[in-house]
Amino acid sequence: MGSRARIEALNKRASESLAFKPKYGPDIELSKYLKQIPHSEKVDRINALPETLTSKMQNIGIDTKEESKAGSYVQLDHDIVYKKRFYPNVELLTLEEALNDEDFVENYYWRLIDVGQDKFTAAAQLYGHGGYVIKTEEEQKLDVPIQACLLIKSPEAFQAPHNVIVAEAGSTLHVVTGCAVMPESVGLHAGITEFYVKRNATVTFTMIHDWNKVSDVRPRTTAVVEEGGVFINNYINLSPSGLRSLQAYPTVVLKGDNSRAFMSSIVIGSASSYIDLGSAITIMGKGSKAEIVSRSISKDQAQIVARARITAQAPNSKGHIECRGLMLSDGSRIWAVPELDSTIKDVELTHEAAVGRLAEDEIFYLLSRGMSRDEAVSTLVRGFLEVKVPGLPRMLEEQIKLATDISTKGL
Amino acid sequence: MLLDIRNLTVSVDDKQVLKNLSLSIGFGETLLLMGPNGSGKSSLIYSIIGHPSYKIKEGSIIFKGEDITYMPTEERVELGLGVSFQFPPKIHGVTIRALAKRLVERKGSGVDIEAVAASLNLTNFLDREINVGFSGGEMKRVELFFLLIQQPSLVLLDEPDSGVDVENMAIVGNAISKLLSNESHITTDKPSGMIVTHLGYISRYVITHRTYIIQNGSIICYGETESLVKDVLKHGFDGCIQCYGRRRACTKHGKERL
Repeated sequence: MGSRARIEALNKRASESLAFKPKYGPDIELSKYLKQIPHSEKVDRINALPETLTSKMQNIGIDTKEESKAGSYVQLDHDIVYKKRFYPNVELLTLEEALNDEDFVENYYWRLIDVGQDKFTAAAQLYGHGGYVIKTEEEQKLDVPIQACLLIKSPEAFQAPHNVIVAEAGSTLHVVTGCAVMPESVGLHAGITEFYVKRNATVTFTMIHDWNKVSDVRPRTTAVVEEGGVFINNYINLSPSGLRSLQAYPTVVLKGDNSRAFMSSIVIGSASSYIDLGSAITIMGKGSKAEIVSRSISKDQAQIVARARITAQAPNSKGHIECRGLMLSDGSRIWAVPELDSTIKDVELTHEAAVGRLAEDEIFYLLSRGMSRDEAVSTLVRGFLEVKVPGLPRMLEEQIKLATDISTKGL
Repeated sequence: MLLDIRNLTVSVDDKQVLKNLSLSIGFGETLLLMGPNGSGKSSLIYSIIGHPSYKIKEGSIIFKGEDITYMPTEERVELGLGVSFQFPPKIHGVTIRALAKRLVERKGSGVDIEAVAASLNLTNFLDREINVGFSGGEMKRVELFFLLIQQPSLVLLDEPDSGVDVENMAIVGNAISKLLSNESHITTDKPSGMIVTHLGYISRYVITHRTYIIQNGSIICYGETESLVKDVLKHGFDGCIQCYGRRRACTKHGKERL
């Protein structure tokens, strides 16, 4: 099938799926988001954007000075306003550019996610704009990240970029992406991201989200990891003032032997946020390892469902889930759903889950060192969110720390 | 007196843990507090520092002339109290260095965190989460580390030597001596101390002025450390209790009967 025929087939399936409600999360009426919205002008560097935007970007881990970055990509609503590559050994394309390549369309476009999965994947195909495509060269190890920023700034915008990341054999790639909505905007974000982690390649993907009270978020993400490959997914949802609804269930398939996946998620739910967030790893390659770590904080009337699922279908595989929830209010809810599923005997799958309040003995300990109660509580809340993600460059760790510090200040 | 505890009766969950206990510590003075398991040693420390589960039923605690009986813990610490706990909790997500930095900034004391850590063999622990995965002896060293940073004028040490291996005993002993001397202090006042122990080995490393024996939440005897510790090690606490039970002046050690 040629590119054109394939895209037509995808469009057809998408059209037929526009009414499919997803399994989890509240339904959303798409029609109100499908209006014309104003275009944004291109810029020649991130800091040429208005300060209101760049300061927002800094809050979600984007380095607007672009020091030690392999590349940057910035999309405002539908428009790609900036794209620049600082390292030669990596391709950074817009999806539009990549779609000219028959091989890309044939092998990497909608190959991991079914375009007809639900109304959001369908809408992303039919009404989505933008998205980036990153391809490494074999054996090229990038020590600094590529950063991508997706902002919704117009009211009632539907932002659904389609991103594809291909890490060729033996390469290393770090991607950090920040997504946010400007304070006054109502927005629906439903990005599609597909990862292809080839033999012995390593990809770390850090996603920091900052939404507002009227945002709905439905990203769809799948990664496939070949033999000896490593995929690390690190999701952080800050949204200190709350969001309307977020539902996502990113999935990793450990296809090759001795492959590894680590997925972490840090979620702060406040106001009347509804958050249903999962991480799933399916182990198909022998001797592979999966780990899922989640931290949820609920306050006000927030509702959080924290899902995690490891499925083992290959011998000598190992999986562990660590699900922790911190309740800061009565009337909010954390529902932890860790699931382990194996079809063979030679596996080791474990999970630990805990939901509760801050431990009084820890608060008292900090008081006895001279902290005030408020200071002790905020220190422990901040500490609760500290997740050691393996393999992240130090600079990226610092950026994540900064973003988390900013959003936990008001908790 | 730096600390004056008068007729203190304390309960936890309606169970009496201290009963009409009186004790005082002078400026620059260090006491050893000994007693069998469950006698109230740790309860006394928790009561002095103000743990919310320890409800004061009667009596008072005066520190530096201020009545701190019902004062919030952080204010007692501000006033100069410092504790090394027997079983400190794990603090996930907070590194030793992070907390130490906060304490130094708060006091503006300019204490050299690295140097203090080095003196306690804790250099490689600074960036670890507090007490997460630590052995008993390591936790004790961390407790002393924080006290050396806090520089309290009264240090309350709950079993600072339990779980400490032979190699680290001298390090712990030196750290305690340093805490109780004024060499590491911003002020020139010599700090005071109360060391809780059920074994008394620590008295080999630290000079104490007196030893108190606690039993069933009350002080039953006190006296000069060397001979009293020797007697306790020889006859056990039972010997002490019997001596007290004979209801005669405990002339052997104290100048008076309590």
